[in-house]
Amino acid sequence: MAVNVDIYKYLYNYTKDRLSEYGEEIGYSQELFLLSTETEENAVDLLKIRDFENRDFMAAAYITLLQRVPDDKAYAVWEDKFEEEKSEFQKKVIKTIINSNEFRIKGMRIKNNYTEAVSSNDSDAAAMAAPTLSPALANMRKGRLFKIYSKFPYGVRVRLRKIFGVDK
Amino acid sequence: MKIYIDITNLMQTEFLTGIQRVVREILLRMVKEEKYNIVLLSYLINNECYEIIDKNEFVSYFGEHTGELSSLRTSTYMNYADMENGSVFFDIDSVWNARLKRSYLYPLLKDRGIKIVTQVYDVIPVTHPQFSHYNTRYNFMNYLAAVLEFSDMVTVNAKATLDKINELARDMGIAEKKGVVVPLGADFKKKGNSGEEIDEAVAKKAAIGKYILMVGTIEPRKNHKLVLDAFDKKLKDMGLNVIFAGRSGWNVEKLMERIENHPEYDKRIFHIEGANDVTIDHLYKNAFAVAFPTFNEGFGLPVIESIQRGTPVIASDIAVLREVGGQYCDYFKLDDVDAFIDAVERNLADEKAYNERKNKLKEYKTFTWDMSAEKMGEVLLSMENNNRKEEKDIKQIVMLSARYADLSRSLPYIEKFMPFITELVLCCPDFMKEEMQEKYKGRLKVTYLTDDMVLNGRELPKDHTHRNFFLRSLAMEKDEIDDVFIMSDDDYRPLMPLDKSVFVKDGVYSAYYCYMLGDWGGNPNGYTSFDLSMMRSYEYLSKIQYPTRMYSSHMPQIIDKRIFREMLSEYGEIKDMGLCDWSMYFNYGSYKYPKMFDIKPYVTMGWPALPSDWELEVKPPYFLFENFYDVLYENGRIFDGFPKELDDNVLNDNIRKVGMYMNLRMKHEITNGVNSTYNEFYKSRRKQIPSVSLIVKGDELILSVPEYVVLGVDEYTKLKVTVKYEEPDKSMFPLKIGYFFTNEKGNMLSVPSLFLINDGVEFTEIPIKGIKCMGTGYAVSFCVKGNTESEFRIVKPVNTVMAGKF
Repeated sequence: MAVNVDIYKYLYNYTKDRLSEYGEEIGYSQELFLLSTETEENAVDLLKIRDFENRDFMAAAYITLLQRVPDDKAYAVWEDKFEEEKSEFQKKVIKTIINSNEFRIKGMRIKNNYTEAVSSNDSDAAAMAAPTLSPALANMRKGRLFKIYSKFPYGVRVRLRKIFGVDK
Repeated sequence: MKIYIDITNLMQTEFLTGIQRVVREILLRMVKEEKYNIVLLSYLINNECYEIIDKNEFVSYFGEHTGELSSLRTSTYMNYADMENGSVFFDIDSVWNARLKRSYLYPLLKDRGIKIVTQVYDVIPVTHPQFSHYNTRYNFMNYLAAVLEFSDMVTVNAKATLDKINELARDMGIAEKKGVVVPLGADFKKKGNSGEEIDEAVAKKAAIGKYILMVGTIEPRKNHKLVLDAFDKKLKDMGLNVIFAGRSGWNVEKLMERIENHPEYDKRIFHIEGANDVTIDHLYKNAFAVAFPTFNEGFGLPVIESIQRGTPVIASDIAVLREVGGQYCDYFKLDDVDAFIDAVERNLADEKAYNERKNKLKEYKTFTWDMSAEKMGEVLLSMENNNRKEEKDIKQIVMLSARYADLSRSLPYIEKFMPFITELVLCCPDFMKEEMQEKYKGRLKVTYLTDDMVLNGRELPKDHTHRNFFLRSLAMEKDEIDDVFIMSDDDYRPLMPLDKSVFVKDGVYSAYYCYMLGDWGGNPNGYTSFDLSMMRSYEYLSKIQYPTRMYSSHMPQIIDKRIFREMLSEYGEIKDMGLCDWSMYFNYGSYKYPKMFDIKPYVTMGWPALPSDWELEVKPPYFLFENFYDVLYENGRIFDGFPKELDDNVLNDNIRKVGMYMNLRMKHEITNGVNSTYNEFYKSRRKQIPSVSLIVKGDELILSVPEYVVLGVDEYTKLKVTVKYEEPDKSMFPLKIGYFFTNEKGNMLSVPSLFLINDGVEFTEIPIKGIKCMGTGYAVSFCVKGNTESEFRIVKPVNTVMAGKF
């Protein structure tokens, strides 16, 4: 059952107007507020915030990954980087947040972390540097994929490992 | 009926003031009463589920202040999916701060037929956002929107709050919320705190001289600043002290600095933090007056706490305090220091009037926490609809049919395996009645409701699904149909002897569902009438906020005509909207009368016809009925060789057929495992899901295929196909897309399996069946051509991996 987004929009505008009567700004756009309606249980799909421009992207990253609106301190950290190239800026923001204690405590899962996408050259290099397990197999080993993989006949497993550059 | 209560915040909050105090007081009383059948829950972020909280330990810890918080945990877990249909989810805590956003949780609960009751303390973060932290504002807007959209009932502590909620609802153009006002209690005394003692240091400060008291967290909204200003302006000279009892809250650094640096701090201005209930009680009783200059409140607990102790209150003149305090408070103009000082002076100047005022306070009827808890409990219990209908004997089966041939083959199964059915009510065209009267020789008494009798001059809709619901709705008006009957289509067959308990047990109707309507994707290559009906049903049920299960389970089901008619009278427009009558009826019935319905997974073999037709969302635990498909009995198909009609060997045949179907389902699940692995491998390697993409540009066809495919031998692997259009040449359609296998020499091992793509289709699937091959070097190639073209364009992936037999 999807939510009625119009209700959220109305409340955002209503609150924003009340604040401005008091001479204050709400501090984030309606689009950033509507991110709250797209939150899954403890999981953040980074593709949903990818299209924001840098300033809003930073706020969206805080809202989704740290479950809070960025404060003045956060803006002070990122303000002078808002003019940077978009994909690099996004990588920095995501990396900084992921490496923070606050993120670890909050325990959000990340889906579709495109900022960690690895090029085919990188994956070959990684495979050569770590001949025992390719990234794919390493990921797979973490959980249920390995159980499925292990059910394949031997010949298929050999073939799959060759495809992923394992067993060089 | 269970009442689930999320107390995550209470379990995590150090300070039991304000909302947490209310939660504690109410729940301490309610959990002791078995009639409420409460389940206390605390959300675990790491586990992504709720942990059940021990109620006895809850009472010990929060009521008697014994034991450890950890002893409340039971290591028994549950999720919203485990919550019983017809139960209540009661949000009484400050859940806008919860990890599970209510915009996420409430729709899920609603989908499961769970009633939502939300205690709304106030809407201040929206109406007076300047008094709330920006995070609170953000979270509260989400929470309030979810309440407005999904809560079945709100409880508030003052009518002013409910009025504001419904004012917002009206402005938005949505339905107003049903609400009940539950006043808060004013009594402190609990069994558990009899051991507490008055803080002597605080008592000494209170004894210094007459004082104005403010109780509550120091925050901008409460307007402690006004009392401080009044002290500096006049109260000091009037001989009055000031005591602020409450912890420092948000955004009061400057105010606290002013207080702590005040020359009279700790002499005539006091800030008391962390006082126990007995000490607060003492402060109330000995105050000259309690000041409540707040900008806004949801209730104003200090008002009634003060009145109950016989201490006059001087309060802001706002709607909610007028409602709570009535004629028993002195009111002054909001945020007006001089008006406040005047009110204090009036009390000070005339001792006789002051004492009379204090005496009058004894007339005030305060609520106790016992009364609050009881009223809250009544509200929750009222969510359960106890309107049980008396059980009637089931003897009738009602069928819609226009095909005597199909009906005549199904009826013998009903006669043999459902002996309690003695009457058939047949809704059919007039011509079929004649054929039936002539040819039917079975044991059932047949009552006819022909199209003419039912339509009574109305026109029959042309579309199949529109027609069925329309006809059934009209048929429900007829007395020929019993109050409770079995509804069936003419191709549903019982597989074995059945008794009534399949449909009703102890007065509770079975409701067999097979999918969640919102998840029904339909045929990607063009929606069928059935698909559209399901989608329309989902949209409509969502709009009216009913659960959205799919009950078109292709098996006979029990219907209560009275509930069906009630549904039609409440939602009359649905008769000719082409909705799924099964889904409408059962979602309506199970929501309105949860105690009368037992929702279960369906038990039909042959829906889907083949396990590979579409993915199950609900797995039949066993099969009691067959959704008969002629084609499955044809040469080379799964039931090839089995009779299509009832014979003496029917039971053995059905057992064998069930075994074969289950086997096919298991093989399909294994294939799904292959598919999942394939997708995951591919994604981890290529950062995208494997799919075929086709661009139709003018008369040009650009086909891209995955780098490799993994196929199950003798099993189907579904490959997604996305189609994009750039001014396509319409004469190309329908396109033909397909695949074939070649060996290491490039020789074709199979003829191309082809599928049509009609103009406008953006997404479809190709089911690829892996072949048995010896050796290596085989490959699958994909091919596509336009309608007018003679030759295929062929593209081959780099690798094909056959996943072997399991």
